[in-house]
Amino acid sequence: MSDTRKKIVIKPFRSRLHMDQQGAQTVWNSLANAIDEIVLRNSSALSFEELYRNSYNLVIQKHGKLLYDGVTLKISSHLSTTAQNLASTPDASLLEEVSMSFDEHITTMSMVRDILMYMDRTYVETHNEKSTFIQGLHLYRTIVWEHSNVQCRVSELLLKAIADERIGELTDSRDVLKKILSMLLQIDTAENSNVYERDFADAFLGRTQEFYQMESSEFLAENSASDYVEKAKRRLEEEKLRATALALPPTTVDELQNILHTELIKRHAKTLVSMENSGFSVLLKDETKIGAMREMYDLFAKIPESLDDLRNALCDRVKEDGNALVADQERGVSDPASFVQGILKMNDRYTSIVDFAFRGEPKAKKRLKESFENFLNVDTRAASCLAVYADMLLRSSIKGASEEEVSILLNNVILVFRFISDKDVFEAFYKEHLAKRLLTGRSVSDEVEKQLVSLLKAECGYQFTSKLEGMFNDMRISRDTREAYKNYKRERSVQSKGESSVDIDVDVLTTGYWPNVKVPVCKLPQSVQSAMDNFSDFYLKKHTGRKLSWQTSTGTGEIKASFGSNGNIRTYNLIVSTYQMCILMLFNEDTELTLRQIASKTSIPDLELQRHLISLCTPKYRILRKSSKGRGISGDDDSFSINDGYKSNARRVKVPLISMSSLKDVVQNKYAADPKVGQALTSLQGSSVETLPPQLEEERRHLVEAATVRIMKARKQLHHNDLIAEVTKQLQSRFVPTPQFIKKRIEGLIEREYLERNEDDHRLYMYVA
Amino acid sequence: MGANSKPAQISREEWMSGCQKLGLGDINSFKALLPSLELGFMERADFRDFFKFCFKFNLEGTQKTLDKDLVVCLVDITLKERIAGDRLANFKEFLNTTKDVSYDRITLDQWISFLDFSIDCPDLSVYDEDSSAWPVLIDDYVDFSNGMKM
Repeated sequence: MSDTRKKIVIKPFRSRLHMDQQGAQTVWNSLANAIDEIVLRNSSALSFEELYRNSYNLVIQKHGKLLYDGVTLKISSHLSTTAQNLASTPDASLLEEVSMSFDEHITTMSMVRDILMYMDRTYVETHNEKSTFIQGLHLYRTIVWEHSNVQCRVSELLLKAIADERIGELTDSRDVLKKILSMLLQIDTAENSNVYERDFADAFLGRTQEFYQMESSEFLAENSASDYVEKAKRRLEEEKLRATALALPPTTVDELQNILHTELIKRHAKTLVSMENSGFSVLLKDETKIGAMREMYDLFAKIPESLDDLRNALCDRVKEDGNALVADQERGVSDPASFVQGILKMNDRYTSIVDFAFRGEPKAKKRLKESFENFLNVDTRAASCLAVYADMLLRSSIKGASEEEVSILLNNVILVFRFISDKDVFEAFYKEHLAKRLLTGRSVSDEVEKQLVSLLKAECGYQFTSKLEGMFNDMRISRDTREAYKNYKRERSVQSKGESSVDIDVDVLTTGYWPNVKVPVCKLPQSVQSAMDNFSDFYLKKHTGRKLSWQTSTGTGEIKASFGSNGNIRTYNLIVSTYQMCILMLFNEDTELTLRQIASKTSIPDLELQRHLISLCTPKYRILRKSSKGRGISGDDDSFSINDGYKSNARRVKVPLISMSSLKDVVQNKYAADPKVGQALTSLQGSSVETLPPQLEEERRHLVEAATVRIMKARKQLHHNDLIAEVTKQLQSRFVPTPQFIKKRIEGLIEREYLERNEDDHRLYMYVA
Repeated sequence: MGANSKPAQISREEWMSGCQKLGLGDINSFKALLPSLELGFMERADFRDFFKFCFKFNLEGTQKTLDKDLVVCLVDITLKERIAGDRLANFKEFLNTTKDVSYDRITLDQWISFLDFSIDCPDLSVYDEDSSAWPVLIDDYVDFSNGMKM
């Protein structure tokens, strides 16, 4: 059956816009025109939608390549024109023109990119081409920038502008410079090229280096160091500001800074330090130049290694000053107290330099401390002078001073003490002086004495000051003992009307605490001897098992002496030393005695005998007459007798002992040649001692050995270096042993079989149980 | 040889019995034996023990040290083949000329250290005194030796 109704067939919709080549070309042409308009800034007349749609269609219809190439060509041709124009622009306006042309180009490309967005997202990606905007920059670079007559001139102009600024000439505003630089940076970022560096940065840095190299050398040749520092500071500021104004990228800024620091600072560091008249070394000598020093420090601080030059200069200065101080002391120009005060002054001065000029940096502080320690510890002079200084303080200087002042003075002592490495030498000297002060009652204040000792204890520990405290203890106990003895005597004389022996006041000292004085006892007058025996009886009954040895080299006696005859008898109470007492009492038996006789009757040691005898014959205190002329004693046969004509205004006369230096002057040839005498004289004077007192040597040996054994016992075995280090560490608060010294003690211990060397490793020591 | 009673001395009986033990009848076999007694064949460790023994053997009574002159001789006898001739010579000279009285007697530690030192440090110019763990005697010896060369 045939159906008469026709079926309506709906054919599928087929796009009629199948573009063939020609169609594509037409579309493209309209786009090309649009681009032209855009370039001419007539874009307002265009329809964005239409342009977008056109490019979209081209891409969809597989004409992407046509589009892309077309755009490239179009832009290229526009840029060529731009390039021509710029190439013929004169220098004066070139920078502006370039900057403007780039801005224009960016605007153009932004719009073109917007139109071609679809192509960027699809065609460009799949065909690995540059996206529109980037292509635009690429074309600008290759066509405009790298035009032979553009790039070179622009680069030169940029560099010249900066150079002109540096020499203070007026230039164009920095703005345009900044824009050009940012253009180069933008191009580099976009297409990973290198124009900024190649066409600007490298040359810029090179020129900068040349400029500053020359300027700094020339300036320094004509000006003082401080002026140079000023100028350098200003230049650094200036460059910094310029870098910010030109918005230089961080890499350039860093490199720039490096160059500046090298050329301005590093290259001239040593000159700045050693320059005559104005270098850092010279500034150090002048107290008023501390500001200039700090300026230099701040400048050098930019290159940390160059600070070492400043620190070295500081140390050299300290060394020089220190050595001068020491030399003065050695020549005898300055006495111990001045020496110590010199050190304190130096310390003040250089500490303030470090605090202000070096801004209190720890490295400088450390170097300063080391410098002081270096010159002070060349020998034991510092230790002995400090002890003398402390003695002076405690004998007299602190009289009438306020608590605060006393604190300051004592702290000064500790300050110098800290620099001394042979602290045990100081302790030995200090002990001697303290002994004298305590026994002669010369110390101004017991409290201050104890204050200083406790300060020392805080520095070095209990061990260091235990003997000193023992000395104080002894004095205290002696006072109690004297009381007890007085009571004892009273009771005894009540009981037995015994011989009236002489009154004596005794200080009982514990041998270990006090300085060793091994002087044999002299022969004493009977009345004195019996008094001493009485006391001994009393004391030993109280403390059985103890042994008393009388120290006749110290002590004083009060003698009632009558001079004159017939009606004119003058009686005085003479306060003399124990030795002098023995000497004078001899004249109760004999009217005239020679030196030899006196020596044999009293058993007083040679040098002391001379000293005490001469003291009795001085013009002011001529209690004895000496047969020989002159101040000294002529020899064993020189004879002495009581000076009957002796007169004094006071009833009580304290006879002073001549000083050791005076004694040195008058000692006769016979004795002067004797080396022991010389040594005795210097040791009593307590000035610069070159070698250690023997008991200190021994003490040090003991300490090192004890420490070594202690350490080895704990560690069982230890390497040589470690052992040396440990021992040094343990002892350094007292003195600093040299590695050689310790090694020698180790050998001794090996010999005595406390330690042994390991068979396989000679550097390893092992404890022998 | 088993001659133990006195160092550096040998009694007739000891000699006779010793020779018998070693199987020596006449002078010729004695001569033949001698080369094998050369100390040179001893390994280092053995020699070291032997060297120590030499020292201890010569100690008298309860003493722990040997007289310097004796040491000079002993060192010569024992170390002649072992260490460089000039080393030995200038060590002996050092001992003979040193004025330091603490070296009048030599300890076992110093004795054995000299051997160890001669083997360990053939080159004196690189010797570092400050960090050395050798006995001070050795340090002084190196000073002397270097001083001589200058």
